[in-house]
Amino acid sequence: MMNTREVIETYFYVVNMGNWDKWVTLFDDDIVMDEQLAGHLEGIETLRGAVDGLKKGYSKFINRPLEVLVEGEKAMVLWHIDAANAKGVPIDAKGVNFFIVRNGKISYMANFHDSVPFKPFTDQNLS
Amino acid sequence: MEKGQPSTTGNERKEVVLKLFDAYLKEDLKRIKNLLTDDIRLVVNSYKPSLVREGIYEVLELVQGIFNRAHITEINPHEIMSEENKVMVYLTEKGVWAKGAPSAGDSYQGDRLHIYKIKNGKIMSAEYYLVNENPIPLPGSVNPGH
Repeated sequence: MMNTREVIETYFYVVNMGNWDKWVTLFDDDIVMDEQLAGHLEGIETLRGAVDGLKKGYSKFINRPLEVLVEGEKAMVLWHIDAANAKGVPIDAKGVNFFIVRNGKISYMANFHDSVPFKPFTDQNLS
Repeated sequence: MEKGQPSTTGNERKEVVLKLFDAYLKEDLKRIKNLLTDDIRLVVNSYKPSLVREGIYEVLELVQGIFNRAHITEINPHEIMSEENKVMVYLTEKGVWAKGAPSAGDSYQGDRLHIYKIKNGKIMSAEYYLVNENPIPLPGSVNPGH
C-alpha cells in the first residue's frame, strides 16, 4: 500500500502523463472533494464522470509540484499549472492542493487557486 | 529526532509561525524581529517581479511598508503543517487598506500560502504566495499578476 507521499507523487505523475483514468483510481470510493472550479463533489462515480470533460477540455495539462509537505495522512502541495484548453489557449496558474490519504487512497482533496486564469477552460463550449 | 532540526518539534515550529501572525496583527516590529534570524530571506511571489528581501533589516523595512499600506485584521490558518524544518500554512488574510494605499479605507480579503523554514526556533526563510486576485499592493511592486 502506498504511503501519503507516494500517493501524492503518483498523483502528479499520472496527471502529467495525461492518464486521467489512472488518476481516478488514486481516490477512495467515498472521496470528498472541494474543487475550486467544480465545487463540492462526493463519490468516485461523480469524479469518474468529470474525466471526460478533462480529457476533452485540455489539449495540454502540466501540473508541476513546486513544494510538497507531508504530515502523516495529510499533504499540502504548491503547484504550477501550464495548460491549454481544447483550442490551445494557454492557461498559467499557481495554486495549492490539500490532500488526506487513508489506506493508500485519497479520501479528501481540496484545491485553491485564482479562477481567472482558467477562463479559457471554463468558458469554452465543448459540445 | 527529526532530520536537520533536532531541537524543535513540528508543533514548536508551528508555534513560531503562529507567534509571527500574532505579531503581524499587532504590527509589533520588535516581536517580529525577535522571531526572525539575522539572515532571513523573504520572497513574495505573484508580484511581477517577485519581491526578494535578504537580511533582517531589508525584511523589516518591507514589513513596515506593508503596515503603511494595510492593517491586517485577521489571519485565519485553514491548514498548518510541518515536516522537517518546514512549516506550510494555507490561510485567509483580511484587512483594511491604510492611508498609504490607493483604496484607503476599503477592506480586502485574500488567500495565501506561506512556506517557512525554521532554524533554532527562528524563521530563516519565508515565501509568500498570493493564491487569489486580491493581494496587497506592496511598495516597489508593479501590479500583481497571475
